[in-house]
Amino acid sequence: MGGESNEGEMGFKHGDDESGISRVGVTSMPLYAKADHFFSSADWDPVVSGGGGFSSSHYTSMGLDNPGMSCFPHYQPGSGYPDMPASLLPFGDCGGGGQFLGSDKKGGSVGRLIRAGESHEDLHQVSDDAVLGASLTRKRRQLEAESSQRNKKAVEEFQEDPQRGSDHQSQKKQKNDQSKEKESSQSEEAPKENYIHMRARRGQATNSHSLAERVRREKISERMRLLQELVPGCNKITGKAVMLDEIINYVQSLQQQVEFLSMKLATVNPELNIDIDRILAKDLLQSRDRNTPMLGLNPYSGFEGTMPNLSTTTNPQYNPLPQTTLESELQSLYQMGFVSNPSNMSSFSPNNGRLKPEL
Amino acid sequence: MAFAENHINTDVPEKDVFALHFLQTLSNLSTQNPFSSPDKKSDRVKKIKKAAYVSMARAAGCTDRLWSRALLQRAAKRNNKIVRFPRRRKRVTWLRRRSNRRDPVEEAAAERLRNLVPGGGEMKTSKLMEETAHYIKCLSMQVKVMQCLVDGLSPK
Repeated sequence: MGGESNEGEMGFKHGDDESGISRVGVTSMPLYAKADHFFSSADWDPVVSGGGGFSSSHYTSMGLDNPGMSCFPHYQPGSGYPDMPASLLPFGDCGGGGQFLGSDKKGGSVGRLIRAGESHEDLHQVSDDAVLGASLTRKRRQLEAESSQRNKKAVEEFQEDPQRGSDHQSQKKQKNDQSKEKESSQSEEAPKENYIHMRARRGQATNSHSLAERVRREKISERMRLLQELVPGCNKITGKAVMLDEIINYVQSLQQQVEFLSMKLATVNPELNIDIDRILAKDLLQSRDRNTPMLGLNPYSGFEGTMPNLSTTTNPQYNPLPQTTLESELQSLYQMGFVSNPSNMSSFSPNNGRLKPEL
Repeated sequence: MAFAENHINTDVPEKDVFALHFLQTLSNLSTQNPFSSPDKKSDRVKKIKKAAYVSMARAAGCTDRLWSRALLQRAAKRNNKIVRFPRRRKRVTWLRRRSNRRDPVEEAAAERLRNLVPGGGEMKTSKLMEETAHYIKCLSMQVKVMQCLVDGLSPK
């Protein structure tokens, strides 16, 4: 079940990505065909040397391979979080669904137990700290009912936890005995489940682990939000897997663009002798100080020093271009935003001897 | 466990920094092969592409980011240069693994991301996403620079 939905979802995303490609201005290139071509043909792969053809295989590996997952179809990349039917959420603190490994099989029965009757929990959980736990668990359930903001609210939840640290210790026994978690789907039955105050999932050894887990998930979700702002058109997407897919596609498309533009550059500049850079380098070095890393600045000083030598030795014959084209070139580059200070540009035009011919 | 974490810093330098680095690398390319006009097109393309990535890594801050370091190391390895950066390997410990930090779906996607972003093979997922954010910013900056260059240098 999870597999098919994955496929369907990915099929949809293929179409989405096509439009995404056109959005970023790359001329019509089928995304995935090009991706394979890119990675297999590139001699120098920016990422993995010898990683050719992996992109397609990775897509197939997206399928859910956890057998326990079949019991819990609620976490699927295709279906977003918000519309999850209540019956599909056996675990409350699924968060990003990060707790499946190792606890699924048991959780299945537990989940059904929970769904079947909350009376189980009433019987199990009478404790002194019921009140304390009640408010917390109720809050937690409400938190997790909103799956899209799950991770955000886990922070608040987490912040309360240390206060209840001592309570945790006392409740740990009950926790492990009862061996189940409350779940968000039954928030309407909150009064009944007041006595569930476990935070760690079953299968977790100690509280610290679950807390660490939550911290980690919170970190990841925060970064996901950051990435969401970066990738265009991802504001409406909720759900980690879809988001990650989008991010991956975006990175791939950017890398394809780099290759495409380098091809274009190779066409445009057959001799690879871009001489405008010397002017720019000199200009940029003189006219401003940027917050470039020091590592970046040093090569320039060396570069500058060898410039006159290179101009004489490396290209003995050249046909001097008229100054007008050079200046217009500078103007155009200035308009591109490369050069900020146009006043220096005019000073370079008379330097006929040092300049190599343009294209 | 810390509640508040330092906010992630994904600043990238301005466009002209990238432009500067890129042009410098390109001119280095041209000066390395002074009379090699009859280059095969594919070689040229590859050289330019490599120059683009290397210059991007340099412009973004050579050693500040894992991906830039990994990129530069890979490039230097190709040239048989020995480049040493201080790098800390962080392996997922057994303890961590036990605490169910992997989510199968997310982990698969993270795996793909690791293959895409240079140097991502050994990062934890949260670090990986940070690197990805910075990498995306730098990539888009580099793309803009190259686009400008192509526009400027193409025959009118």
